[in-house]
Amino acid sequence: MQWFGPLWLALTFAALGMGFYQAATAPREATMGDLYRVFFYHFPHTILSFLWPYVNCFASFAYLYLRGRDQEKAQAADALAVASAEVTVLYASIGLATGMLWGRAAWGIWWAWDARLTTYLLLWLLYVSYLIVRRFSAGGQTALIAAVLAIFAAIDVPICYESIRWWRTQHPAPVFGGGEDAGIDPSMWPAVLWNVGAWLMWGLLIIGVRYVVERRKQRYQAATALDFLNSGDDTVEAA
Amino acid sequence: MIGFQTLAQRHLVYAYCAVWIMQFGYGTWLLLQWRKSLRWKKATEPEQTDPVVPRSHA
Repeated sequence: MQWFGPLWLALTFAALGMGFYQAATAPREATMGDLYRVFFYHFPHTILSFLWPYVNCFASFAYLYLRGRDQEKAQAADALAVASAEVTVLYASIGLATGMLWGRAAWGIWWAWDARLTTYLLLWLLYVSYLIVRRFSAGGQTALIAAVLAIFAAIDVPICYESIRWWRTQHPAPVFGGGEDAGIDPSMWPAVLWNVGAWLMWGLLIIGVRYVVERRKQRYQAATALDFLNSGDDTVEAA
Repeated sequence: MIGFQTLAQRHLVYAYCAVWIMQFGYGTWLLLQWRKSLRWKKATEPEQTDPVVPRSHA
């Protein structure tokens, strides 16, 4: 299985290159001209930032279930939760940044407190707060507190996803699955699909790498703590 | 060919730059963490013990 990682990396870069080529060569849009090409990066990042929180939520549930049963598996679930939360923040940050840049050029404003933008900002803040809790909470309850927070944070995802259907405000209606008038020209589909696929592959790759790093860190911290306790025992005995 | 004259063109370029900078910025940080984790891995691997030498050969 040593070849799997490099192969996945090579395929991901090839797909990202193809996605970029498709986005650059797709036909111009009638109303917005070239500006609409932001969509080929804004849409994949936004839609995937609705997927990673479910990985985080699943891993958090798994941690809560396993922590009293199998400590090793619980730690693995916690590592997956950290990895997916970081990638959620990354993808949501890009969704926000590309959306604001697009909004400034298309609407003339950087930001509007409409339903989609507000719930999306809330989503971003929730996962940033998750990472802050993990980074700065003291004691041995960090993983437990983070797991509970992750489950509450995931509730915002369906609200944010449906917000452009439930409340018609500044953000455009859904492009896909938004009714008869929605959709894109068939010639634009390859750029959308290549970019969704490529950024999905990239996301899975970085979650995988981050997971392995976190597992190594957990084992190192456990070994260091054990060494410390053992050295403490020696001190007691010597005394 | 995408130019750089109008606000729309500039913001398109900014948006693409934002994507690549953030993604590969995180990727670079992750690569550094990966290198650091190799030390953690080495520190937690079971130590290589000396091969047992039969008492008669010691």
